[in-house]
Amino acid sequence: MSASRIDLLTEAQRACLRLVLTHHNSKEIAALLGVSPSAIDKRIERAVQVLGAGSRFEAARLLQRHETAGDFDVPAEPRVMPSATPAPRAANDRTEDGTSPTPSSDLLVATYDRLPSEPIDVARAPSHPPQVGQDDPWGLVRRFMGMTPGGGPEGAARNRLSKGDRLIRLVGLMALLAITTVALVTMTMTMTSLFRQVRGSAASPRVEHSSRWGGKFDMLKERRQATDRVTADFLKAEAAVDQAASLAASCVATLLQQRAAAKLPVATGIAALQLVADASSDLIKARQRFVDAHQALVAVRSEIGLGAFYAYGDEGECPPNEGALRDDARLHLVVAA
Amino acid sequence: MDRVWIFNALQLAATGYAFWRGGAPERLTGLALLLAALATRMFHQLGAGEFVDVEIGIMTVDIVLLGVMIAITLHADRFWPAWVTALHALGTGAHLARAINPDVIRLAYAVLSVMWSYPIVLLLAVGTMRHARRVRSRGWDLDWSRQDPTLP
Repeated sequence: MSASRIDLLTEAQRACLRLVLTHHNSKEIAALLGVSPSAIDKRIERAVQVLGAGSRFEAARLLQRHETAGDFDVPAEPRVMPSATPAPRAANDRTEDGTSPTPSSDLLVATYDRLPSEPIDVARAPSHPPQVGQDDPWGLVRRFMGMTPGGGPEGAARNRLSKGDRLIRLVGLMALLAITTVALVTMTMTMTSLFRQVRGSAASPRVEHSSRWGGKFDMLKERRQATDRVTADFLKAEAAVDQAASLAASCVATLLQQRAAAKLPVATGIAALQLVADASSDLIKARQRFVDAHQALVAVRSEIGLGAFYAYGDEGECPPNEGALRDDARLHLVVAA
Repeated sequence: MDRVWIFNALQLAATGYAFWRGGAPERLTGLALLLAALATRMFHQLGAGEFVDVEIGIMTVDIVLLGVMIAITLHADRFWPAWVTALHALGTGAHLARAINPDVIRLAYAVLSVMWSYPIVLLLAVGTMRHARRVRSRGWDLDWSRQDPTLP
């Protein structure tokens, strides 16, 4: 089980651990590998975390056993308890940790250097990440952005391009996408008009027109105009039928009222009244038909590709053309101007 | 409008997945896309969305998002942000096209600025999936390229 954990170590981490085993401290390892001491500390810390070891020494021994025996068993050696850490060591650790050593810390580093080896080194990583979130108000944001100082993974980057190269590639990608899109749209348009021609020119006289380059836009414009004309006339007819129904109904009422006002017998003009009432009822039915036709016309609009589409993130909620017909002629004049 | 709800569900799912399994670039992109979609929605409810004129509010949202995506592309240890940025840049270009040539019909303007959102969301989901797979197989995955100490 831990053998697979050892497989997770990077080669750099292994090299550090091997040097730890030969009693080198972080500064010496750093000098040997030509990296900064804080980077070495990070690597070892990470390796200790990955192996779940109690100290860097334990981690180094685990690696050694894995590499010599080739097989691995549960660590038999007693763990060094964290409470056994002497206080001066902890202080030294902290200065060693600092990424930018101040001149005053030279003294501490000097005393630290005199230590022949590191007998005890307790992993201090586990207490580190939560502290970032608690001490620093921006800690959470930094963790979200993957910019915790000292934390985070380490290893070879996959994307090794410089910023300039990335920008160039970005522009290249944009050009590629734009060209592909234009090609696809053009192909679709050409194929559509070809199929229309094959299907027979009886379908509509617009076919020849739209088979030209840019014919799609002419075609949409034509459809737009056709829809606008139909809409204008339809709205007029709808209003007229509505008014006629209203007039007929009030005519029935007037007939009844005037008979009563003129004190004529109840039977007077009963046939005429009946006919006007029937006409009024028919007009109301006609009005209902117009309401239905209205919905049907809206459907036709979206069928011929004039239903509206809406913006970024596809958040358009209530398109102006859907649900109700509107006389858009005025709007078009404004746009065309 | 079913299409709007489908898009919102996709966006939310992709952002949630990026927060759950993604590294920092995935999380940031997910957050930025979600905020952009919300802002666009807000502008629509304020009465935009008829595509009669250049949509200033929506254009601002698009340009800010473009800036964020370019920054992520330049720093992240990933390849997919370049694709996302390129796709989104083309969507932003629709505003430019409309501003230069007012003859662009509303439908074309709308389609040009909307259609890129879908592949972007898809790319985010695929990017998160690949990141999660790398973390599973080797235990770590860099967020930003400069985390590699060997890189100049």
